[in-house]
Amino acid sequence: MLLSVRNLTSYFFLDEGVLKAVDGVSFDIQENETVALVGESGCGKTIVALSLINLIPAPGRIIAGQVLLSGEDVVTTPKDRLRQIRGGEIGFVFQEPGSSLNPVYTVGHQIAEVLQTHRGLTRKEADKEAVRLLGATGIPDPEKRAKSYPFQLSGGMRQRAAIAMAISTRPKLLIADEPTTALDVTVQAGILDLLEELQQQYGMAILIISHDLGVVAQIAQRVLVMYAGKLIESAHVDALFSSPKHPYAQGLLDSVRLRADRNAPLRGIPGSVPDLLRLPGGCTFHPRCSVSDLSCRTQFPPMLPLAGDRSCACYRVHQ
Amino acid sequence: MGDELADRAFIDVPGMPVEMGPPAQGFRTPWSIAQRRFVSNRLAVAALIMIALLSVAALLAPILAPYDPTAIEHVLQTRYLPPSWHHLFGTDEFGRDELSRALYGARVSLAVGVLAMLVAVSVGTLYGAVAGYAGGWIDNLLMRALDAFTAFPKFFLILLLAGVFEADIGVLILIMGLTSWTDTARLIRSEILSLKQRQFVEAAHAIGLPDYLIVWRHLIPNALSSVLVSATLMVGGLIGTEAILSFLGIGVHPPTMTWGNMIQAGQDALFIAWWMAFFPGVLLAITVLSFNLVSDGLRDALDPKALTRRYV
Amino acid sequence: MLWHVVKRVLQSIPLLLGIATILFVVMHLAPGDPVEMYLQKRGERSANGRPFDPQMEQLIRHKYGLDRPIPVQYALWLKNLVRGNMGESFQYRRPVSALIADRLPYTLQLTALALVLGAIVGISLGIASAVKQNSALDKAVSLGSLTVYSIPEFWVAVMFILLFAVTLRWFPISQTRSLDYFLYSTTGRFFDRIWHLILPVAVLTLGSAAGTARYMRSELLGVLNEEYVVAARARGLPEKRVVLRHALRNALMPIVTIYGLALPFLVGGAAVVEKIFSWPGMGALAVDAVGARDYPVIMATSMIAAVLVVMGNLLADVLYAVVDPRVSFDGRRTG
Repeated sequence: MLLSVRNLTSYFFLDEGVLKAVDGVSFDIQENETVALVGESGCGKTIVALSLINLIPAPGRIIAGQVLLSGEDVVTTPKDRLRQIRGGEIGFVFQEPGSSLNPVYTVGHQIAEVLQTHRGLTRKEADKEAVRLLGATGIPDPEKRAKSYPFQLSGGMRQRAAIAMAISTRPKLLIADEPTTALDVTVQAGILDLLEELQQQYGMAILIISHDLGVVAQIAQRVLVMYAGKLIESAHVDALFSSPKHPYAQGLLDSVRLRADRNAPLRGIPGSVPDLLRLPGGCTFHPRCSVSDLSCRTQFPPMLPLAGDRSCACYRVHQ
Repeated sequence: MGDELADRAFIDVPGMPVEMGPPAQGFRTPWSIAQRRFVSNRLAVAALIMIALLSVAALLAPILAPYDPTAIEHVLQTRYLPPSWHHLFGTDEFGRDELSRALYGARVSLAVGVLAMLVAVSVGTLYGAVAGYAGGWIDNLLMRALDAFTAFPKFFLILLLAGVFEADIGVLILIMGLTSWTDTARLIRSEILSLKQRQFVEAAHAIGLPDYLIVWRHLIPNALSSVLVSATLMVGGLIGTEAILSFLGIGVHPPTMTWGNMIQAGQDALFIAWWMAFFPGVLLAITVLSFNLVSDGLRDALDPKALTRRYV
Repeated sequence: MLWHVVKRVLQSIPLLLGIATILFVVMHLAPGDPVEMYLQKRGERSANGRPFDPQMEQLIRHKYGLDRPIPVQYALWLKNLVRGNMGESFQYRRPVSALIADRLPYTLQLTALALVLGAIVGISLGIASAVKQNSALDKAVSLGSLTVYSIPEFWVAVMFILLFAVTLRWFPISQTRSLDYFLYSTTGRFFDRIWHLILPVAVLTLGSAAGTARYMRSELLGVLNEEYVVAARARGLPEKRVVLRHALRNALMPIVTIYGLALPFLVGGAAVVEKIFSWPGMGALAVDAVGARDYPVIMATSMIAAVLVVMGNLLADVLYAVVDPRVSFDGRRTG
């Protein structure tokens, strides 16, 4: 088991109260597996991703749980080792390629820097390898591009450069936080193909975070569905898309499914995402759920396994 | 609270994540949030209290002052007395009580600062509003003139005008006000410009909200916060400027006392009466510092970006 | 870029012309006849107002061109200005340009030193307090710099003199050199000058450092919240590198340009300090001229001030283009 997350809990301590961004999330990722973490904006997916490398911005903190990378707990590991893990064994690609690259240094310089830090290459070697990596991620004319500043590259190229930087150290796990959300649709496909290619080539696991089910459908093998800080369903991608079990997942898939009848009304989920500072008691979804009953209001349902290597956190499903 | 739609549009504060939805309990307007945050900033509150105290003391100077600040009698016995229970701040070269003089001086120093700020803000608001609202070549012309005006180092300009025109207090206030309006003008103009582009203005128009109502409900609150921050900062600066000018002999002239010219008198007597320069300066420092702290506090409390950061 | 700089300089000329015109108008609107005041100064007019020699008055008026019609005076003034002839001071009866050449080095000794020292101290403190946000150091630096910034500089100067010169006698009270300066050797003179420099430079540095520290702190804090800093940490780069190489480089950019805008300060910013310490600099020259209605000097220093502000702006823009790869000098931000 490459990554084993147990009861990860990260809260933000704000003036207005305690914001429960991630509340008791547990999942596993195997080597070479591509797992997607989906949910609406605001459900806590990004915080999960940042928690995996223990990099949540203040005033947030991981207050409970373990993140076991090949048995080693990232949450408690000392600073020096954490530094090695970050970038070295876990790569991270951010959502906005424009803002995750330092605007005043060239792209090549930034990649070379990572290589020098983690792989101990000399400046010359690192520069050459940076050019090679840029080429490997599909950037044309990599020699010239390496000397370019981020603002001189298009969004797609910037993201490719960011990916090149993330995989330069042959990490075992690549976390991609909404890697295509900020890009044009036409460019998106290219990035996803690149990710798949690199996975094949380097043999790494990918955790892709997205709210776009289309992206998930293309690239993921397994899907984790999050709602308001909690994991509510986990399944293989085909199984989830064909028969979602949790009412929220059903609602999600309903609202994006292609309809035979174009004139049928769009189906959304009634109500809106709760304020993470004031969550409803019991199952956080129950106020919007069409099948909830009294038992749903008392306590959050545990994530229990179902047939077909999947699990779901819903009382009604397991009855 | 009247028009719900307009109020909700106003709550669209940049940086606030859309997914928060309507607050579950209690209506938290940006004003009440700002108020709460300001109050929690203890330094700013202390500074505000200090300003209030000083203002009251200045206003009540005739009642509070232990002696008549202009009374000159028995000079040889009463001159240059060090601080004591009789004269908390000592006496000056004519035997006048420095504490009383400082209290009366506070009136001038504070009044000049505040009045000059009012002049500057009024002129600036008018100028900026005209430029922003009119747009086009009028705006262009006004902005070019503004740039030309800003090409003069502000202090030097005041020095020049005050000295050359032999300003009395009224003229001094005018001069100080008329040289400090540029920042306000830019602020107001940019608020109007951004307001013109905001989508909710189109929406408000679409539902038939008249222009003046838009200006009243949206421009004023938004602009108010930045102008407030800038204005409090300005008062501190203007009080300092008046002090420097009076110190140099160009601002307020004796016998009218202001902290600045009291310090100048103190400089002449530095060897024998350190208290003459010391106390007015301390008061000056405390006053300016208080205005700066309040300004900082207001800025921190009203800054919408600090409400929430991207956290999901 | 050079071409753009030249273009900007040329574009500023109408502005400066406008300023010169306004200056001329203002001076002529001012109350008080300069010639009368000049003569009063020279004691040509007696205390009880007996008229002075009309021939003398005519001579003076003619000499300074004050008997010509206003438009002619204006044209003459502009012509002379462009040539660098700024007239002759009423007070000192010397060419203004000579006065300026004499005084400028003295001012620069104070302001240049203060800027450099202020930068070093201010930037270091700003970095330290931003990195350790909300620590005791941060609170001290924040409050301290705000306090220093709020206290009027002239009072600090007077207090410094009181404390260090009058009471402790560590430093001289004023002037640029001791009375027996001329008896010193070269090194003696050098150290004597430094000894006299210390107090005024200290006062100026305090203000400069406080302002810089505040600015540096707020810029760095802003940058530390940017995503590329988080991303740099996510790549496992050592914290020192993240702060000093990635964050600082970005945060320093606006600071550098601020120093470009400090050009006017370099020449006139120490006026009050110069007066207090009897330091014969440009600022003191300007202040004295205003008090004495020395119009040639007033006009000359005002023009210089305006030119410096315009050049300072230009310098700031140039520096920004040099330091930020995203900005090209014609002001357009690419990307």
